[in-house]
Amino acid sequence: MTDQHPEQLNPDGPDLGDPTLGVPGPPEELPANDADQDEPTAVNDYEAHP
Amino acid sequence: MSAQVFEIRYLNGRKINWEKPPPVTKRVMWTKRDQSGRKVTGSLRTICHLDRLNRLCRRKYGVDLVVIQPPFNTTVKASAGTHDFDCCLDLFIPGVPWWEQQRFFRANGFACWYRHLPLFGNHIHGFTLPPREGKSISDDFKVHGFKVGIYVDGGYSLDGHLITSSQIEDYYNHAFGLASQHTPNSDKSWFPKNIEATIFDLDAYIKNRAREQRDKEAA
Repeated sequence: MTDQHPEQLNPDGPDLGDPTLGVPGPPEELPANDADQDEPTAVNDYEAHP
Repeated sequence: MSAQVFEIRYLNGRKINWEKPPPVTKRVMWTKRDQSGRKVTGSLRTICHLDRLNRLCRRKYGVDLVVIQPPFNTTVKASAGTHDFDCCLDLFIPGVPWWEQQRFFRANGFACWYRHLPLFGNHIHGFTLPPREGKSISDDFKVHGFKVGIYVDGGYSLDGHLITSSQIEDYYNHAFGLASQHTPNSDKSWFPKNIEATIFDLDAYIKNRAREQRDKEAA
């Protein structure tokens, strides 16, 4: 297995400035309690919410 | 909230009869275009899941999600082939904090990561999880007949075996799905306690669309 990676990027590459790739703005910090959040949305609640 | 109703249609624009839907791997389109005005196409399963996510998104946040890069798109070099085939999307929910978006999508069967600077502009990169089956996690797309970019499943669906890193394996292992970042439990952000329980239920989705169709015809 190689260590190549998906979305492999050259940080200096031309695609970084491609506005179609993302939304401009500074990155958001990971909230300290992110991993401890409750399930944010009921899962697979099809019949209740078609 | 937008009142526009988005639909899933055949590539020629014909409506789908939900009482007799096409095969799950049939390529179809969503009537909502991506951010650049391109058609959003994918297998029936992928596009139904996308529509399902949008329905949930509207209910929870009152807005429609925005597709930045759809499946079957080969024009973005930075994506390294992950979007060349089915299942993989870059998207976002306007006005919602990024980490919350990541939790929302992960909770609803969309394996994803919040990507950001310095490597990327802000977006959510991910793919619809296939049903769990087969001898390894990475072969789940192939077992069900879905073809995805080489780094999404490590090459199983394109070459028949694992030849490189696999984002779906990284996701189940709570890793980042990036170069040299495959260490299990290295991604400390939120993951569902039971990832398999979040997998999109296509049969239930189709049943609901068929019921809507019958109601509309009866009206």
